[in-house]
Amino acid sequence: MQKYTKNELMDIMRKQDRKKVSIKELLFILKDNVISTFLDEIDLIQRKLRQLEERIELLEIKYEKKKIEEKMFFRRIPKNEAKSLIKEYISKNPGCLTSEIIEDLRLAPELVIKILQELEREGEIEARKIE
Amino acid sequence: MIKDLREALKIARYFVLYDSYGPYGDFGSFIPLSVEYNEEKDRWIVTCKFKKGKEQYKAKLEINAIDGRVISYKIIEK
Repeated sequence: MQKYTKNELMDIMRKQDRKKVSIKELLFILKDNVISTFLDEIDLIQRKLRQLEERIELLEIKYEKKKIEEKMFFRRIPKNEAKSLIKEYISKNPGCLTSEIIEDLRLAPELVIKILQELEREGEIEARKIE
Repeated sequence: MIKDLREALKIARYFVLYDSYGPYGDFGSFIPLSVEYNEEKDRWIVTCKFKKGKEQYKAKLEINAIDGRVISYKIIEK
């Protein structure tokens, strides 16, 4: 199957105009050329599709890994955000323990303790020592 | 398989406060200080502090990430 460029095809058509190439021959050339172009395009699409599939697979692996890692470390969030989360947690769970806040909100202990002390100073919460 | 920091902390807390092999720390006194996962050994290492009576302790626990058992417990500060 021979593949022609656009210019070559124009040239053949011009020849056909001048009756140097029969219409049958021209159709044959055109048909072959269209099929060849389609096959090339299909091949290109298939290659791009494979590349996309590989990228999606990689992203899925990365996402899964990140999801696992997120659960394995304390969350790194700004102090203000942590403070409002802690306030919300305490209002929903009055009488909760410091360790429960750390565990359930997955926040670093030193940050939680610092924020709890701040909230106590501001009069937002009341800390009780367990006897 | 324990792959969640929260679960590791709950195991450590339970051990420190209630487990018959643990120190029977005072209720509510358990505070985790650090948690890390050792990928090579498949273990969680939890450092915590707790109170027992008037004493305050700092301890280090190693938890098997495969079955969730506490495999080592050591007081590192009193």
